[in-house]
Amino acid sequence: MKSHKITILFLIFQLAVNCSLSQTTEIIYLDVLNDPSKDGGTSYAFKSKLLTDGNKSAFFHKSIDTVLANTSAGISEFPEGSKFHLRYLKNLKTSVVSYRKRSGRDVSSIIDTVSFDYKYGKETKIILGYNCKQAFLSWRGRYLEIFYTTKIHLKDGPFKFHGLPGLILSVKDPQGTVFIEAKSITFNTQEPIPSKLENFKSPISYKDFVNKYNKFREQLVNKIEAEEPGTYVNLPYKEIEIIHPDFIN
Amino acid sequence: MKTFITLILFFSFNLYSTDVAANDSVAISILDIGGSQCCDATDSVGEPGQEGYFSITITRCVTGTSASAKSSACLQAGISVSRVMSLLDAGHY
Repeated sequence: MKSHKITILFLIFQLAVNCSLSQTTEIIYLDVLNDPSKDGGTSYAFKSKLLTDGNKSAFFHKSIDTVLANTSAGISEFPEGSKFHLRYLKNLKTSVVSYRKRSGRDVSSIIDTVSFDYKYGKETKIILGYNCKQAFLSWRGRYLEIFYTTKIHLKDGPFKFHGLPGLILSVKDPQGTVFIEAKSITFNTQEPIPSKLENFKSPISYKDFVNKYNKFREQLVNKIEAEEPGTYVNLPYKEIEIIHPDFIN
Repeated sequence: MKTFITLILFFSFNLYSTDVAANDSVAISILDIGGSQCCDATDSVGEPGQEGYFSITITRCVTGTSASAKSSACLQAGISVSRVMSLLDAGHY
């Protein structure tokens, strides 16, 4: 009789744990990059969506209809995106981020095992009603100020970022190049977290991708500038992370 | 002293038939830089935010301040960016 009670209690406990783990939270971020560098600078404006359950997550981009000034081309216009495009899958236990990205004609499948050396700050900030703590990160060519809340027990964040003791709601840099800020949070959303990316085949490491992209970029830029004097080519590589061999780690 | 961006124009270039160049419009911005007319031409593949999105900007500068120098810079920048897209489409990179 006693063993039956223990079994039932164990099953109820398991059910509660499973329900808790399968809860998905949706965070919508305003996600803007505006690097005006003539050499490799780029700009975009997205509404980005994070779906996370604390163990795994998916990050989506949707272009927003806007105009950005002070870009490499002076002013850049962006169209409204047709839908949210799934871009990154993150395993929070292994810190592995999977995604696909174009390099020349090919779109590479990439596996990036990321690590972040956060430094904790002293300031606090209220974002969406949550008290957030400050952290700093020097990572792949960018120096970033991050705010996260320990009130939401998800050690996740936008893009590849994760690993702070709470949910990351803001990522910015002092120059205003990187601007990511949470605009809404929805708990217990019914939308499932995708388990795989379409056409994800023969993945390469982030380091291999960076070297491949850098070779493609240098070959193309050198060819055009050599053959057409007076021509300057800007092939973007300064994104949130700077895609260059000097900034792999 | 550099004076930047006086105008942004959008016009269609169909100089090369290409699968990679999904967008057939080339964004042009004109810059007046100390006695030269420079023109940026940007072309892209796909929709921003997609995994296959790609964009490239080519700046072409022509000495002179006349309207014809401006037109020449923009024409050459547009031809160059279309050439790059055709190189990509042909699988050279």
